[in-house]
Amino acid sequence: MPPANPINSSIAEPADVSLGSSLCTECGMCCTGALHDFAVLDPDEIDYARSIGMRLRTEGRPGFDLPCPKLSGSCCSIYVDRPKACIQFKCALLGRLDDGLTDFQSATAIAVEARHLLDNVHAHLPDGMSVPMARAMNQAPPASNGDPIGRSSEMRLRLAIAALSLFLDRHFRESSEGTLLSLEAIADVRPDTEMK
Amino acid sequence: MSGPVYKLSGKALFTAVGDDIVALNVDDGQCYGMEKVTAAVWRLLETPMSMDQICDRLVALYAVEPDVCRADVEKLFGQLRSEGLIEEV
Repeated sequence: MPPANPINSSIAEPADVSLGSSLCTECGMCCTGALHDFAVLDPDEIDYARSIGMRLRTEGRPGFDLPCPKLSGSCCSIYVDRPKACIQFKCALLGRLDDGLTDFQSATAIAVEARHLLDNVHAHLPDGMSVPMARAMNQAPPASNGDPIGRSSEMRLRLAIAALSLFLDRHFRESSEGTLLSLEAIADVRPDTEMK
Repeated sequence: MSGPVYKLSGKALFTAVGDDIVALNVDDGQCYGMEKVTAAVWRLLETPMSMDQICDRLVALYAVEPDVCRADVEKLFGQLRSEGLIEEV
């Protein structure tokens, strides 16, 4: 059995986390790669992460690519010993629940819808492509390879990714309000792609 | 009925996300998000309609002056046409 992560004991969790925890176990969106590409580890978490089989990046900031390999369904399989970045991250939806700006039922309905949209993305993902890879693909012009079936599949994946991104912008990220009569080009280029 | 009639372009794929619409131009892969009134206009255009008909429907649905509505819809139609998302019938 790997050693327990010694880092976590230094981070106090809120006293009443029951509603938030219940929402997170219905959701898991922050672990899937839908919100971020990468989770950052502190240097003193690296040995622990390696000991539990996490494959870490060898260049740049230490951490691991998302989706997290320890995600099981919508739950964390190393919850008690999860990295600090995971403990500290709070999406906008959870923030609104914690602040009493939405109720648990409404927040759960949003989480369920997000999972439906993510499932739709997965249904269109080709073998070997992760959600972050598909997001990156959506920033580039379509390939003009002359394969109409491949192109049609790519367009449906792009639409599914855009639908998910729009929904996440609305509910999970701190995003600006839309205008009344406008056409909003969806550009999911975010400098902050790391969960840290 | 007056003026040209418009419909959703054959180049447009779209899906509903709650009350919003996400559309994609299959020629260039560009995606667009539409909410509120813009999404309502998009849904109306699933049936070919003139700008006058669209404006009449919006004025009936929303608290907006006809002149203001017309100006906004003209601007939106200009965007939708230039992005290849709608076309004249």
